[in-house]
Amino acid sequence: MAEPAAPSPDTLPVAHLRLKVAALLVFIVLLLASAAVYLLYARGAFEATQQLVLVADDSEGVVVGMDLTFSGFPIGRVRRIELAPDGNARIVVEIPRKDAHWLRTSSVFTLQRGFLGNTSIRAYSGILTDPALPDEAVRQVLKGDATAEIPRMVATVRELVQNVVALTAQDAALNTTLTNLREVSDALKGPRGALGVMLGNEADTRKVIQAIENTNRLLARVDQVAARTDGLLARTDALMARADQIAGRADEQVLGKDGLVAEMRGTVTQLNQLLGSARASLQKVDAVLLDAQTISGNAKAASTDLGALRSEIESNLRKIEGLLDEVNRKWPFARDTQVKLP
Amino acid sequence: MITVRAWLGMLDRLGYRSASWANRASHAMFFAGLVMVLALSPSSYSPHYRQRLARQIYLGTAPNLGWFVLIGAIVCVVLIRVVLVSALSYGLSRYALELMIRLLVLELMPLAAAIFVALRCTLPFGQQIAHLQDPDIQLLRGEILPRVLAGMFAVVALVTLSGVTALALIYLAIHGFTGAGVDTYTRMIGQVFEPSVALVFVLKTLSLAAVVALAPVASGHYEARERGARAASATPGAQLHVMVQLFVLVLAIEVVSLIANYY
Repeated sequence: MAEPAAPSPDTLPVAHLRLKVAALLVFIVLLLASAAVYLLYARGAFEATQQLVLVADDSEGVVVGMDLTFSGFPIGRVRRIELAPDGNARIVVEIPRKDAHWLRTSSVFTLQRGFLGNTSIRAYSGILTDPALPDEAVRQVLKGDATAEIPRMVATVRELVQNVVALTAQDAALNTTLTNLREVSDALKGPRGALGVMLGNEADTRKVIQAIENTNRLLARVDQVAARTDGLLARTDALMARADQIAGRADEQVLGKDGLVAEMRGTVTQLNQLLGSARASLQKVDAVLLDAQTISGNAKAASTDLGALRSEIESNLRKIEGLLDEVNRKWPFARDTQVKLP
Repeated sequence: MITVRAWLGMLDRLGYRSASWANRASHAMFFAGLVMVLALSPSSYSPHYRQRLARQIYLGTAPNLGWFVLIGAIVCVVLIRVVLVSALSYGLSRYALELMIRLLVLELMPLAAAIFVALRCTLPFGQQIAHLQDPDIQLLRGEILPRVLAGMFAVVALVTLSGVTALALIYLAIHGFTGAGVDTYTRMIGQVFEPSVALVFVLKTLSLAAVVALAPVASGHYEARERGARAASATPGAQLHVMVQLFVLVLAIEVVSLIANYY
């Protein structure tokens, strides 16, 4: 059996071998170098960064390389996780300087765990005008664990289901209520209807029906009374119309052209004239009084002498009176002045 | 009924196989060391040998580069679509990107490149070496070392190019023909390629390259030496043996890398 010929590099000549190999080597080396540089860039090796230390009581779910996000955009990477002497977890985050301005001294950091175990670190900056977060700042991270709510939620749901089961049980209040409701609906469809359901017996139902009939009769009578009241009102209207006519006439007689008011006005005019005349008369009386005053002045002087005269006359008169009384006593036929009653 | 003679026969065969395996393994180790020494020796890169090395590098890499990138791209597109649709249907699209990068770039492409180079390059190299007459040190330097180095270079080149192609295809599948997602994508790649993961990836690629380049050639050299000593034809089943050996070694490297990455 013929043995195959040994391989020789000269058996298959390759045109421009050196050039092709050089191109191949350069291409592959460039590709490798580019890939390495790109990976270093992707890892943030060429970025100036600042450190932020987040302190949490539990770093479960946090892995090196995970993002710190702000408004959904990654602005930092977890570089290291270490255990502090006080037992807390220190999550060292590296933030590129170009993104560090989003973090302020008032920023809040949260560590949230989803239902699927995915953990995310988020930053919230409420006031972007606050001073920028300094390098190597240490902040407490707030925890939000969605899975922590699951046991409580399950317990609540279980309680809810138990309540529903109790509600829908055979001897439950809801079932009894539904049975009663069915009986009520049957009674409603019966001959006594809703009144029978409400009152429960035949006698009371009849009483209610009778009361309704009585009420109807009463209403009929009320209608009649209302009709009569209407008639009365019509007559009252007529009366009022006549009163209006009388008032019109009275107005005419009192306030008309030849009415009472016009006559009174004439009377008042005459009265004013009379008063004028009286005023003139009084002026004359005043003049007379002035004269009388003058006369009285004269009389006053004369009366001074008359006083003495009068007192003398009075004494004479008293003497005469006494004389007469003496005569009367001495007179035999003196008259009895007393009146005697039978 | 198994007789004592049968037991002795089985033990004899087992002993022979164990001795043969140990012989091959020790030869492979020795051969690897020899090739490493030759590879690090400046005299191996004299103009005469450099010409042969360049020819082997070109013949081992250039014809395979286009085909492998094309086939790899097709497989990538199919897998990307499957992973993306599955992740979307389960509401886990945010994890799809990382999953695809890890699956394609870190795991599948190096393995595929190694197997492709083994099938297309180094196994034929091993057959060629097995037919050499009396492989001395000059033949080692002139024929074997260029083939080993060419095989290693081919694996590294294919892994690099197919990895870059896979990254580009993943980006296009998710973001389309726009540059809007480059920052996010770059950040995600940075997250996946942690220092430890990148180191494991590089070591795995180099290990696969070394195994794929050395194992068939070492086996061929062993066959050539054995045949020279026995003055007989090639050992029957040697090709199958080297394929199994290669498969076991590649599997071992893959398992070790998985353990290093994910445990």
